[in-house]
Amino acid sequence: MRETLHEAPDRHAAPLASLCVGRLLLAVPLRDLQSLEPILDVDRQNRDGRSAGTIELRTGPCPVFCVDEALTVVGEPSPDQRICAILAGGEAGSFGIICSAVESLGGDALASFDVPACMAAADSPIDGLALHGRRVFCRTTGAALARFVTTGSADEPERLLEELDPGADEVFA
Amino acid sequence: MSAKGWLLSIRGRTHVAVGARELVYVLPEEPEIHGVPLAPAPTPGVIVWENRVVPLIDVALRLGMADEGTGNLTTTLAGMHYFVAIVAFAGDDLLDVGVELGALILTKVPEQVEVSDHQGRELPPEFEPHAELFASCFEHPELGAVPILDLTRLFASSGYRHERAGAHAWMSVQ
Repeated sequence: MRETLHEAPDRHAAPLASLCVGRLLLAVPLRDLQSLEPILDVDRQNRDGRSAGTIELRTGPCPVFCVDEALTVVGEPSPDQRICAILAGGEAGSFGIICSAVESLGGDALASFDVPACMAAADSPIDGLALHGRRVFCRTTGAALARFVTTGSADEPERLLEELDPGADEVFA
Repeated sequence: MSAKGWLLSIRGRTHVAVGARELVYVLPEEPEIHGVPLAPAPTPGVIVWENRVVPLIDVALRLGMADEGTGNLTTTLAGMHYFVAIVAFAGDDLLDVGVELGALILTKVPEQVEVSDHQGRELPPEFEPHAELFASCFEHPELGAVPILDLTRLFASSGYRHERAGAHAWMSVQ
């Protein structure tokens, strides 16, 4: 359950990478951050309905997404967003998020909190909050962020089915 | 019997109340609000208080008594001087988490109020759609009906998700 504001010390250990998008500070596990690329390398010719373009990696073209402070996928980065953070998106593969700054956050100085119940949203990729000094970071993972920017929901297909029809698994088991 | 509490102005002449021990602190200045993406409009972000992350609720918006606008708190409160009160409430019994903290947006400094048993009354119709968020209601001699917030339920529900079972009222004057 992640419905209280109590600290979750078990999540302190893994170091995080912070991605700055306007006033929004996202924190992903540092292991999910694969590389940083200049925005100039993004090929805008290959943009589609959601992605802002692609960037060529050794493994092939990688979709790049641009989001605003509300995590809405937008077509154009703001002028201060000059960095493309390449993240591991789990089954979705690598993808890029355009941001204005990236830094690593030591796990020791972080206090982690659950998302308050009154702020919970079923389709949100934010799975916790982290406090570092006076700064508050919204915790997510590369995989959840990839699902969200590509589909508009961080829910895994299995979880969506379960919410629509609880108990369906038992019927078909 | 009587009980002490705090009268909270949430917009215009709309007031709600909380128990005397539920109001912990009123911030002297408008705090920095850290937005949480995709959070519902009445709960636009969190504040940092005493090294804790505290969720902020605009009760007027939560009760549908203020215009949501774009859902952006900065827009909603633009040009409005407001106060932020830190409140404490019982955590979810099911999770055994003890006391939790939350923050409420107010338009005036809270006033102390003492309520006696005979002041109890029915919840007025305008609050009925959100009856689950109130522990009870009393008649104020000047303001009329003043509902008493059930903070546990207020902070346990986002407004568009199902209420969780197990929440209970902390203060009742009836």
